[in-house]
Amino acid sequence: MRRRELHLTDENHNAVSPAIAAAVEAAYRWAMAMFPDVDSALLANAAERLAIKMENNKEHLGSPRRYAYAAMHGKVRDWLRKKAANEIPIGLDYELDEHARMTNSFQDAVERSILFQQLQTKLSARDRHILILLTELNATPKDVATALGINYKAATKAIERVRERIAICLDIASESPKATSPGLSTTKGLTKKWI
Amino acid sequence: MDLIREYFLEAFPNPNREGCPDEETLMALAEGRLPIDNPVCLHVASCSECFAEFTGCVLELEAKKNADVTKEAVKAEYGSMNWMGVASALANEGGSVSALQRLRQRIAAYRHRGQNQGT
Repeated sequence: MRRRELHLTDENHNAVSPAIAAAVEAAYRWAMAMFPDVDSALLANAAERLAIKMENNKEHLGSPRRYAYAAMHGKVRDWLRKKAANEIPIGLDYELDEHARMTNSFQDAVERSILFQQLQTKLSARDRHILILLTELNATPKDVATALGINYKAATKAIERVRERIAICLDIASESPKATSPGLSTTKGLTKKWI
Repeated sequence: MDLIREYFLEAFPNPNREGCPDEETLMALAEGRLPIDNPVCLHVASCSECFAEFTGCVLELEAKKNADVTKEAVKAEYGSMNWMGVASALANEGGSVSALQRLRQRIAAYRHRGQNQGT
């Protein structure tokens, strides 16, 4: 079910204040964009409940926008964890999943967390800075050189090293017995894009 | 979701928001108003909460840009349909002007006939 409009009211069915409405709308749209697999109706319900809570405590809110983002992010994270933990196919479902090479999302979650830990140990703050520049700010190697205060050649080398480090992590991940499953399909895309 | 984004969203929890820049600074980074060597960028790479807000800023900017483009398109469409535009387009074509003149003459003749019948 897709839901795009929010009905943001307080407990008495009065419209919430514009600042809270804008903050919750923004956080809701962000969650829809970042977690497209999550049912938007669930997100909308969470956003509407969040608006009620924020309106009740508006005197204590420093920044509605910041609060709304943190709350929506937390909600989705908890929901995904719970969902992954509950999703254990058994019997015929399990056999069908095996046949279709479907993955168990709980296993995916564990694999992902292992991969993130590996990335954590392999990538330094500087490497992450380079990643943000390249992936989120569409920086060129020249921009990376400016940001890091190094020359162009050194910047291209640094980018290459980040790629190599990510590749090492992905290789380690692909050595796991589940490597052929679609659970790591995102890492395949990443490999294609980055290496 | 993109694995790298998921990594930045998950791996650096900072619930107490220690060392976080304000929202305006994050928006400035998303808009490209900050120099690329600004330390805020480094912070975003080490704080999941700020990364979430930053990606939110980028999305909001994109939505705003798309809305502006749509508004411009609607404006352009409306402009082509307004009567001044139609009139000036017709005025540029001699044939159309003469057709309009003929239509006016017919209407005038019809009115004139009606008046004669009334008297």
